[in-house]
Amino acid sequence: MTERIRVIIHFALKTFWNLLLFIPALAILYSSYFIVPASAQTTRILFVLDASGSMKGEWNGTSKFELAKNILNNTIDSVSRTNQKVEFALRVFGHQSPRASLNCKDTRLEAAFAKGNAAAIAQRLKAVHPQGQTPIEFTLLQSLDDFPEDSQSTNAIILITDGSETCGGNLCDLTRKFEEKKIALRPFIVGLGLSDSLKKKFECLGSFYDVQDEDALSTTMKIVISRVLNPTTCQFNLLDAYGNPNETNVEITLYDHVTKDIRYSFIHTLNAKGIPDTLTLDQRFVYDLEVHSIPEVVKEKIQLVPGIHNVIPAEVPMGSLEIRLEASTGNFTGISCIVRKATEKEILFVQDVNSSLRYITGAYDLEMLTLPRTIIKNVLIQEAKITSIKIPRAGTLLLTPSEAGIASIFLFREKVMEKVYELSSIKTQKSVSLQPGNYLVVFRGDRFRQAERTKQISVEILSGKTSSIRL
Amino acid sequence: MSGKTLIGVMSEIPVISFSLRLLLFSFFCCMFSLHTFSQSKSTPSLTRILFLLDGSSSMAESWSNTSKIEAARKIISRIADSLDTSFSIQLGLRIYGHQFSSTEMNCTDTRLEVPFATHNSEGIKNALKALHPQGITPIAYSLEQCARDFPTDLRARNVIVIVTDGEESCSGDPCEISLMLQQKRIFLRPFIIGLNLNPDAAQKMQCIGNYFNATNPEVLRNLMTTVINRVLSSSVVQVNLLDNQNRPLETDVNMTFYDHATGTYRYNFYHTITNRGVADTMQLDPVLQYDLTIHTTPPLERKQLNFPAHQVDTVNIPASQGYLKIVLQGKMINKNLNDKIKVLLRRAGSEETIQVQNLQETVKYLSGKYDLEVLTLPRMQIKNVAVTQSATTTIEIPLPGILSITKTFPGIGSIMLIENNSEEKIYQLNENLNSELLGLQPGNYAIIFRSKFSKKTVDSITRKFQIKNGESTSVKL
Repeated sequence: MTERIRVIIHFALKTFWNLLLFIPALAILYSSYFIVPASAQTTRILFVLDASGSMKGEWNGTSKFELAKNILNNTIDSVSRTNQKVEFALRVFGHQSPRASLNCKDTRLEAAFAKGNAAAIAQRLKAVHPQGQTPIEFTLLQSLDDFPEDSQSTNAIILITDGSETCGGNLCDLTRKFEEKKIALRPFIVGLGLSDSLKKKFECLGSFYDVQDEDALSTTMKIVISRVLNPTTCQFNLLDAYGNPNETNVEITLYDHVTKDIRYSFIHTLNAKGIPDTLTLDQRFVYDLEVHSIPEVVKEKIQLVPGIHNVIPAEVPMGSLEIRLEASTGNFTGISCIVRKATEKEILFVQDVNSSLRYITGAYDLEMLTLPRTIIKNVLIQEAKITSIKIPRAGTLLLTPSEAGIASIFLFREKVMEKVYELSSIKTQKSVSLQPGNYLVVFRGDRFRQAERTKQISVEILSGKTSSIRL
Repeated sequence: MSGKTLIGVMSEIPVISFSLRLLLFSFFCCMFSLHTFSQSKSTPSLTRILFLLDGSSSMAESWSNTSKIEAARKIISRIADSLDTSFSIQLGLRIYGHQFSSTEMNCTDTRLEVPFATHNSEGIKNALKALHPQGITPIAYSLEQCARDFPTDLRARNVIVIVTDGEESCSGDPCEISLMLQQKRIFLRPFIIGLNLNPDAAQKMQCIGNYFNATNPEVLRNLMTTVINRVLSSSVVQVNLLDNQNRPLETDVNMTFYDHATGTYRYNFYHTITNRGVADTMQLDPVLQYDLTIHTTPPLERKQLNFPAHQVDTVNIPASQGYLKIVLQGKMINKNLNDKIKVLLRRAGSEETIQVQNLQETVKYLSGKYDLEVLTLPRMQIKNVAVTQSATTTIEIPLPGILSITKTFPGIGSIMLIENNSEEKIYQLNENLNSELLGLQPGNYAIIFRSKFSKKTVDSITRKFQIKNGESTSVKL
């Protein structure tokens, strides 16, 4: 606990420091968001207790309701004693009308969230007697209003029940309804001796635990409470080509799977021990992970198991591609290189020449926007290796027309003449940067009205040199 | 040039016309080299004609009031005589099926009777006189042997004229051999004159080269004259580039003529409109079959064009063009950033890049629809841009803002575009630079950045910022 508080202070200070440092300096909108542990603030636990008729059924001579009631009281009592940051509330269903009256709205918040309300809850529980229906869906929908507006708190619902929905509600649909309403809440369900088919339905809804006797109920409740109260941590293992979590230093965005909002973005980091850093994420949300490698790696619907350390693997094997212009100094070349996945037509990324970038391992096609374009197919990027591509520096073609005319520059590519550059009009000297190679300059003076006055001059362009021709 | 008038009188006075034609031919060669000094390099000074004559037994059959062999003998002799004074023409004669009787089925019965030389009409006439048809028809094998008959001289035009009265009677494929030898540049596209071949056999001869069928000795004489006439003249070709109303007004674009068989380049001309307002004609080697490329953007192509030399051949090609200009809305101060923005052009719906255009440039394109991909940061797609006849379509790109990044410590990170609630990496910061200057399109962005040496994820910082048209934004990390 102290450790966690220390971390919180650290975060708070850091945020404050950053804001202080940059807001006055710059006239633009800044906002910094950090990985803030969700459990830093108040934790609110709502117990939803089944008081339907079947809860009168006995386990070793004591009714299930009685057992549940006792354990609830004990739990609330012991947690309240040791943890000031936890508040409890109690909602009961099926206790107000007899089963025969088929009351499907029989649910009530018996004790609202408040500090130090353990005794009050115990008092309310004494007055509850099981008798009615099991309107689980309706109850859970109502329970959403039981939590006060507080975006900082951790909210949890612990449902204790022994039976299936009797009012036509569908638990799996309920999850969908929650998602539609953009509510990130996955209840814990403690089932009292449920059938297998029922278990499946509850698993759809949240974290489900089945108990068959009093001891198991007591133990399970402890586990559930610790899941709620313990920090939920995780690490992202970015796996290399050999399945080792060695990949790092890449941007990561975590989206809320339900609302699609950006929840966190950060740079993946290995800690001092060289293993992926441990993160504390808000456990309420289901996440979509996007690793901003090139191309990006997406993993959807990541559900953190509350109260434990979650390891989330993603395969991100990467190698580097370095593109250099030969004999160039400085970083800026003004030349872009279009990178596509081999055989694919769509542009994946545009890399500057004279830079190095990491890509997911595999084959890529490169197209450098030199004149003419330099195309290199099937460049292999291998795990942790640097693939180095060098392109020659351009040479200069200096054209000096003896008269006004039109000119084009051609390149022979496998016997085929390919137009590289066109001068719709050339009157004075003109220089064109061209990649090294053999070109054909075609020219016709404007004063000539015969096609056969077309002149052709072959010219070789050498890297970094100027070739001059008179037209 | 001169083909039209001469052909008309050819059948009546072939011999005289040949001499005349020869004179004109030499004259035209001179003119040609004078006019286009660079093109004339590919116009050879020497033409070699090899007669490949059928000497199989069936050639002895009577044909009208003569025999097939006699008809062939007569016309070849006459042509040899008429060309005998030329220094720029060499003749050769190869015969097949004449050394062994047809009963022996000799599939290698072929012989170069008269090797190439100038002034060798006597030798050719003598060889023809001595010929007694008797064997079978190994055309493919003979054609293959022809490769050795031509001296290696890349400057010469090597022409082959096959005279046959039957189809291949051995296992060879004459079409395959012909194509292979054309591709090896041994000879140009062969001429084949069939002596009254049935349609089925004629069909099989078509793929060897330029096929003609002689139905009687008179037709043979005319055809042979026409072929030689064609070999020694030049095709006169006019290419009309049509605008959107089918008027031949498009011009000033390069046209390349490739030899179809070999795929090699033969001629390149700028399309020109003469002072009379029509497309200028060009003279091409009449023996070849051409593939034509018009170097519009994107290029236009016409395959397997034949230009028989007896008239001006006109090729009409729709080539409606217009202009596309791509500009920035406003003025970017930084030239380097400005120059880096290239625009990739594709035919609408197609994936192939046909042009990379710079900003502020105006480029001529074929009329039609194009998809543009602008290499701004982030990239921008502009679909279905219409280019129309003679008009200039102007596309305006929103002026990027300029982002100046200063790093107070070495670190790694990227610029993310924030759009539709998601982050997309559009640029990775260069970890070797302390400051970077970038042009960014208007929008919302974030920089995610972390010290290079940090061991804690929480050291990652995210800075959100907005970029506006033409405005400078600085971010200090």
